Amino acid sequence: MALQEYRCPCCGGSIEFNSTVGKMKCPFCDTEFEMDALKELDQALENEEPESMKWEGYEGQSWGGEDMNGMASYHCKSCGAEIVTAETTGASSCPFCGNPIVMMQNFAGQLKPDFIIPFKLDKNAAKEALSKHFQGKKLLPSAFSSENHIDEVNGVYVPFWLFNSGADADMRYKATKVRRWSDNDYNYKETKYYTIVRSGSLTFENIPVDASKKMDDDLMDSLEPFKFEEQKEFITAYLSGYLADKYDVSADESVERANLRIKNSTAQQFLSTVKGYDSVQTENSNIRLRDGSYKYVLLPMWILNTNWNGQKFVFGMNGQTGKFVGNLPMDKGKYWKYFFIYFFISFVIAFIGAYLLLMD
Amino acid sequence: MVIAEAIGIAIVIALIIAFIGTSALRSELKSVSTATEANVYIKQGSFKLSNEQDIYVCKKVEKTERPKQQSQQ
Repeated sequence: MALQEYRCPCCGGSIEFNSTVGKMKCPFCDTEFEMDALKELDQALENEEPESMKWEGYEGQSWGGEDMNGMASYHCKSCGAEIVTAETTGASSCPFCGNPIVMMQNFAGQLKPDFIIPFKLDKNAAKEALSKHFQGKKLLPSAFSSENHIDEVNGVYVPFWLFNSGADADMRYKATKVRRWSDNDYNYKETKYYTIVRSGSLTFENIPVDASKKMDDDLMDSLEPFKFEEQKEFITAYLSGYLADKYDVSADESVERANLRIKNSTAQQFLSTVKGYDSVQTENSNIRLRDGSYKYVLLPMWILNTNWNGQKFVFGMNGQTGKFVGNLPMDKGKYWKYFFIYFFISFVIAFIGAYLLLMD
Repeated sequence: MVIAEAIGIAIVIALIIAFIGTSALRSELKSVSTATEANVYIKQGSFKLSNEQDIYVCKKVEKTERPKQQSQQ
């Protein structure tokens, strides 16, 4: 039978039973512990289960002969992207790298998407959103916004894995409450130590993880969220007029990113229930997934590429909600101009204030 | 002497404010970042606690002597 070792929350030393006082006592800092509190703690530790982040397998649907009718596949020689679209939609340049040499090839079957969110916003909306994105950015180089050299705006259905799962968790925290008071001779500081135990469950629905190597993961994350209640069963007709990327990151490879997000959010939810303490530290966290499943979906994105001063800039717009993101370059001259304006104004105010204070 | 001291203090404050102000302007240019949590994907009403215990373990009292004021003779 394994012996349970207790550590003193005050100093970290091993505590032991002191027969004189009939209590557990720390031999290092002399703190005494109520046996009832330790019994409760024992019970809480016994109930903890090991962490598990496993997902059920996924078979997916394969393309039927009818699904593949009227589909065309393109291959970009420059970045290796494979793009799927309707035969009637011409792909003149690669939406990922902008390379105009796009070769048509035989459509090769892969998993058929389970669902699709159709485009709700058109190319003009994407161009307007780009102009708005430039507005009010004081450090944006004037030449970047005035010479608007976005060559091509592509509507792309980007492949995603959507993860659904329940999560059970056992969390343990170490918390303190601090009280201070004084008398004529001494200042006192009383620290009360608590062990906080929380167990419970929650459910996650439709956590998207980008399944395309060509799409920047951070850009895709920043275009969330989508309204998944509007998703439709996939039919090839939705691809007409748009390009679609094939997934080249498997669900097994994507699961780590979903797990990380689930773990962080579960931890945040449980921590938010620990209230009224001056400090809280997580001592133990066990998160177990249950009923995990995933599906393959295509999500609508407008992708805008541009090169400026030898650097590539990619912007994206959520084709359903219109959320627009993309990092912008900085004008160093403008940066220093604003730095000196802020410096000069605050220097004058601070000097007057400091002078008046020192003269008192 | 007072002027030199005031200039020194003003330079430090102005440098801090200028740095904070321009950092805010720089952050306007960044709109892409990694998602590390999934709070918006938590099913509404699904979060339930089955065990909620706040166990008091022990307390520690530290006392420090207050500095004595010298009595005037």
